[in-house]
Amino acid sequence: MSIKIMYFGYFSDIVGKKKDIVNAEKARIREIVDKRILKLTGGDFVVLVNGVPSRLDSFVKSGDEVKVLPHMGGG
Amino acid sequence: MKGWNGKILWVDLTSKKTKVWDYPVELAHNYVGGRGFAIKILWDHLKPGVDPLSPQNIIVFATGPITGLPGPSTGKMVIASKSPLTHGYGDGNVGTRAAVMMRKAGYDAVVVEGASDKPVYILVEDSKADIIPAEDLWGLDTFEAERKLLERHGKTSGAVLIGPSGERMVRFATVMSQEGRAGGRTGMGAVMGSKNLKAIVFRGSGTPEMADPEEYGRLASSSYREIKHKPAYSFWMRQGTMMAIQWSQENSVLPTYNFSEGVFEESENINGFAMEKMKIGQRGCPNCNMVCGNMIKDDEGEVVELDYENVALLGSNLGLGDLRKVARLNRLADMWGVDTIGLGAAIGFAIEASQNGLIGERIEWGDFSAILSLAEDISLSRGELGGILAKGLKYASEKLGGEKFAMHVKGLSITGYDCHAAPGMALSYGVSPIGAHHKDAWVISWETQHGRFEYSRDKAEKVLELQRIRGGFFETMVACRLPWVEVGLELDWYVRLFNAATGLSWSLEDHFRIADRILTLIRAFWIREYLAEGKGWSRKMDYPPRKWFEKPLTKGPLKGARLDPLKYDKLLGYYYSLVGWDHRGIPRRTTLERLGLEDVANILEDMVGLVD
Repeated sequence: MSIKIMYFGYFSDIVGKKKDIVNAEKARIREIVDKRILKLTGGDFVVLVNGVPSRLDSFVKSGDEVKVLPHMGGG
Repeated sequence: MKGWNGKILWVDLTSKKTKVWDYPVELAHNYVGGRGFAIKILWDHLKPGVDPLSPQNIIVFATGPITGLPGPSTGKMVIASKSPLTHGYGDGNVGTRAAVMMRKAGYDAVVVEGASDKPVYILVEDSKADIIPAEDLWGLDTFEAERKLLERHGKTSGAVLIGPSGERMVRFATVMSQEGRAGGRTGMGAVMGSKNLKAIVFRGSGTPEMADPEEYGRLASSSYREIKHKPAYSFWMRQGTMMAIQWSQENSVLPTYNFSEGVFEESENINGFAMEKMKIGQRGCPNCNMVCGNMIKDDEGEVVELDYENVALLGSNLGLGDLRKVARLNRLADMWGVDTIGLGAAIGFAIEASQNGLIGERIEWGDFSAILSLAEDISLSRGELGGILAKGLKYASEKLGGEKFAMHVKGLSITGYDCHAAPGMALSYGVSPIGAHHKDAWVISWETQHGRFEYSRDKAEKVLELQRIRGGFFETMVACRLPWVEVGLELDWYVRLFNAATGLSWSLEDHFRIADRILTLIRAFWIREYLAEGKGWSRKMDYPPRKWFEKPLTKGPLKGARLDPLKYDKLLGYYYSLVGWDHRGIPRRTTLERLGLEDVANILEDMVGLVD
């Protein structure tokens, strides 16, 4: 009954931690990502669910691993 | 002219004569600087079909109108020539005091033609330019040679120079500066070597005249402050580009085993967090307040400056999961003056060639001893295999076989992003102006959130948008794009700095029109040189390597992914229609005329026939 969220890059500085556990059977990603990240970026960042590209409005379920990464510039 | 110095130093190494060209204002207003000056000079002055390693080739060291002025990351120069690796347009940019000093000496660019009969270096001191014997420096690595030059000409002078790789004309030899800054992976170091030119040293005491120095100063101070207040700044200062190892691993694009996979089992040993535990300092280019060079000690205790591309290509791409060993390879490549990316690509190709029985040598992934030995052979163009690989992947695969796993576009090796599952990034590599490189259109981050596996028109539009910004705007201003692209400094800051320096009132759109002209002229140069050399040209030139179509990923969350050739071809067609090129990838007559390149159209018309 839990969904794991991991924050990468400078997002972990903003949230103050690298991962979070949300107790839910099912949730929309937008609803469980830290609000400070959403506010700062307007929702424009990289979302992966179990390593596969996903979208903010997609649903995840218990046992899923959500990764939230800032966009990068690529040097 | 304000902002520009209005002078280009022209050096003929054959006759040992120098002259100063007071260039017309039209050059500045139509091509801005840097890459723009370089391609215009190469188009106008290079005899078509010239051997890139002959005295007839020209090499251009060019700055832009805000280079060297106090402002965010403005200490860079573009180095360009006909590439001995690709036989097309080649360039690279390097952060160096030499760029600042060139501008302080009163020049916007230095052009070198001819070849000296003996090793020399060029010393530019304000209005004085001398050609000085360099036999005592020839053969020295870039670190030692630069130290000697700075001892001789002062610590505040700036030098760009080559090492043994450039001297031996390794086709992906770079131009180096400040013990770790590198530019020109298209073989600009080999061109210097072919001219017996070890270095150019700059000392200047002036300052380019600005239209509104007070406004420029205000903008510069504010933009520096702005950078430091961006949310991404703190993390950037900890990891710099090394943060991309983790990012690429998570997104399944980390080059692994010669671009066979996008994830590496040992990535945690070589990523930004591993680097942070070893970090002893950081350094970078002049005028920069977000320096990207993170320093650690390698496995021999020597200090090395690490960067994402180096670690990806010499680490995961070779199956090497020991950061201090990767750092040693990085340091040696910098000392030899060879492209770390090209070196990693060549070794990766050799390992796969070994596994396929194409060469006698047995080399395994992650075998540091064998990798180190081969790295030295390639970088010094030594031995049969080293000599072949030193001529680049295209040549090596034609000679040895293995074309299906030679990871290059137009002869230039792929940089640090696997594209099995990234069609937009594959397009970016395919249509890059210099062969496979990310500097013009690094689209992959945007692509992850916009239909990662799709081949939609908006991907071609995004590639073009980024080419205009990165390959046009930043490469002509000659300023570093990292403050914009990595911490989010808005582009408008650079537009305003340009206007304050020059007194013009240009918009970003005005700069994009220049970008279109330059990118199209570069394309025309490729076609002219290929046809003059008796080679054909087709849209297949803009295809990424076969492996990404033919051999799917076997590991990670995107296992099974590969590119679709028919869909890729359609995506390429979208791009051609956006930039106004025909089905062959050749600019249409109407496109050339719209960009003020009628003379170019007439030349191409005779060579290849143009579509309206």
